[in-house]
Amino acid sequence: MIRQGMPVIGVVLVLSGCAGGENLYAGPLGNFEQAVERTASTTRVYSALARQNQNNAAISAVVVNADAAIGFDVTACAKGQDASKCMVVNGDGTPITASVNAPEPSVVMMSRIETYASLLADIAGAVSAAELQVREKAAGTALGKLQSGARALKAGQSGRGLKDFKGAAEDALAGAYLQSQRRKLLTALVKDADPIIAAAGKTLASVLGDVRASYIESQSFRINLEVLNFNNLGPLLKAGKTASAVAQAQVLRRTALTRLIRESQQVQAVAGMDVGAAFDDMTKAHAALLKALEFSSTELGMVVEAIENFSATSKKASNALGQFQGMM
Amino acid sequence: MADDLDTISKDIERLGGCANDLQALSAKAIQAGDAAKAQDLATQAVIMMGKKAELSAKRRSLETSNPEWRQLLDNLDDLEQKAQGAKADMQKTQDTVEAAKTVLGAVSKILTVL
Repeated sequence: MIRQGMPVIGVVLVLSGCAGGENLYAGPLGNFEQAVERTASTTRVYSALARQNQNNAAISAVVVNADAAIGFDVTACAKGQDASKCMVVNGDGTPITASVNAPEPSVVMMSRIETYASLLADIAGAVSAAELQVREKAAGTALGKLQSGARALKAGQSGRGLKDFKGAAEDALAGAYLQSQRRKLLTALVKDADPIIAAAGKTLASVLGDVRASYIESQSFRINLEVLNFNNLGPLLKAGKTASAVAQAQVLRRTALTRLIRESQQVQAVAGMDVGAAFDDMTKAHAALLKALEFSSTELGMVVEAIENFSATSKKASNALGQFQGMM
Repeated sequence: MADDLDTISKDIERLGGCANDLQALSAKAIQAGDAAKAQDLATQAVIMMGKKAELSAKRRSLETSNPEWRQLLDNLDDLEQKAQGAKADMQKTQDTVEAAKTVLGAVSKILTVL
């Protein structure tokens, strides 16, 4: 009886780890999700910068045009009026800055990648810490059953022992089956996705790289002009005949300097960002996920995964193994 | 569309060149102590740069409406559909396994009673 039970113990022990434990692709999947999160946030920031850049250009054009007048319909802001008209406009009533009705195409593309990453996590069964604890408990129960089963077998109480083995084996085999199905589905999906993610990453990096270059260029020229404006206010400060003229020049310089410091810090931050690297990381993380999935589908991968799972479930499992060895 | 993109790219380059030249002249005016001229030239440079930014935005907009971009979006849509399908398949498999375990458990209990 014990001899017949031995292979079952081995199989169940190894497979029980697969029922609810880690897998070889969990880490790479987490890395990919994080990379997607980073690039999505970068894309949103750059979309805002592109808008800001266009707004700044429109404002500069109005500011330097001596003939330009602006208008504002104060009645439009009253209760019950058309609030969309409650805004500063050009003299002819046209908007000074373009209104934003639809999200930027790059944001649309990135949100598709985000959805894909989140679906991958769903398929992989990414779960909350609470659920992981429940799974760990279930794995612990399965090992407990095996221990008592083995003891019962050794003691010749075959009926109880077999029942325990059967229960644990069913759970473990079901878990292993689910894991193999999950791996199969994920591998096919990630394999199909890999060239698409690589192409999308390259395209987005190029578009956002253009936004970055344009923003830094325009802002640095604008900041340079505002620095000149600030310095040119100096003589006004010196020549001020009245206290109020001096105060006015100081207020202008303070406002300008405060804004300049803020804006130059923003340009500095954007100049320090490497948008290409962020998308490259995302593409690499996806390729690494595919490799991990493909490796985990090989026999060697399954063995490595089973061993890793076994050590992950671990103190309990190794204690149990020690007890088995002692018993046999 | 390729022609449009080429023309816009050339215009962008020209505007950038003009803006840089104006900026350089502005810097020279500062060195020469002509603050008013420096400010005027820097202002013109900013306007040129603004036009360049506008054209860059237009070029990006053209790029995102070209067939390659649309194809990429279609591919991502297909991918999402596939992922949704795979998620549903996985859920179905899990349900089936759970049902099978329940049935097995019930049969096992009946056999034990018998």
